[in-house]
Amino acid sequence: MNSPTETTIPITVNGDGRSVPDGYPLTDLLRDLEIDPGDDDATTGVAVALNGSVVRRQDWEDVRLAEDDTVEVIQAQPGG
Amino acid sequence: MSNDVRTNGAVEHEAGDALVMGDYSFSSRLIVGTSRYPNPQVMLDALEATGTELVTVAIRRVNVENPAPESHLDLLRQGGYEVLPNTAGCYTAREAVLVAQLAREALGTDLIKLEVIGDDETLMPDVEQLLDAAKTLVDDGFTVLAYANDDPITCRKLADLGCAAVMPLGSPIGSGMGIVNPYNLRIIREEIDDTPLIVDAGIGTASDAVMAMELGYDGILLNTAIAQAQHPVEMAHAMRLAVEAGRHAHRAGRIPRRLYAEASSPREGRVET
Repeated sequence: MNSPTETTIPITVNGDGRSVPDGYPLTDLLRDLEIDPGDDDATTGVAVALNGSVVRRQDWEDVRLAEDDTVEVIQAQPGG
Repeated sequence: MSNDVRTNGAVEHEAGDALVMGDYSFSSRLIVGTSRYPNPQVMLDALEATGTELVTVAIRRVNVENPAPESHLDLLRQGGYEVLPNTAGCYTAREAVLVAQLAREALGTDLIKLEVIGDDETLMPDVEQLLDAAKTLVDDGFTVLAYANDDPITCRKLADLGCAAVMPLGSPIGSGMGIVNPYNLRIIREEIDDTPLIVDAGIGTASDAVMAMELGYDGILLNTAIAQAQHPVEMAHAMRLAVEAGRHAHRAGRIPRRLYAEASSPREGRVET
């Protein structure tokens, strides 16, 4: 858990700003979005980009977020 | 032709008339979009009625305010469909390449319907960005199905870049205007005989699909014509028949047009008074 004294940093998630603790794990951010990174069913069809580059699923748990990071979390939706 | 079995005038397909794009092979020549249906059940019923094996999806941000909606992907995979992600809404090669890479990671497919548009009013491709993105994605190992203008030069360039299919529009996306320039589509077909060609966008009703297939196109990609029809499932069935009818007519080889009549019945032996 994060202690209240930790520094928070601004990041952008799917175009919206939010504050998270410095070094916040990407997997914690996904849980905040109600995507369980350990659940194959929940993550099927989901992908993540960090600052314009895809983060492979097997690398999600290694990512720590830094100030002004831009995260995109996508999924398949109806389309033509 | 050699793959057909003709019996008493009936033509039955053997496995030989598949639509092959890259390493993928489909017996249906109809690719169908999954958007704008009245509800998910109508979509599923319509998809089944088309006989399609390949359906398109968009790649969009997970809704941060309302995460984890019912999975569109699950519905389609349960139906046994191969999924073709698109890059709809991308304006630059950079955006399209990132969306394609995200789609590959999310869906585990190298198929991509490449769409790079120039504005919101026409949804016409931005050719410069389209060619740039196509090159990058082909080099990155994608099976690229490229949505293009009905422009023989652009289509030739996309084929030469290694796209697995080139998909000129019949008319603007969602317009239902049909095939507005059959002459260009004919030229494109005549000049590109080494790459599958699909008419993507603008199909309004079954006769549009027939016309495209009679022009020798390898397949049709459509969405709105079915999804927004008054009876989507019936239109889906019509489109299936249209694509099959057009394909057969093309393969059969139509008679030449002539200005004057030519009697079908023999002249000899007529009863004369």
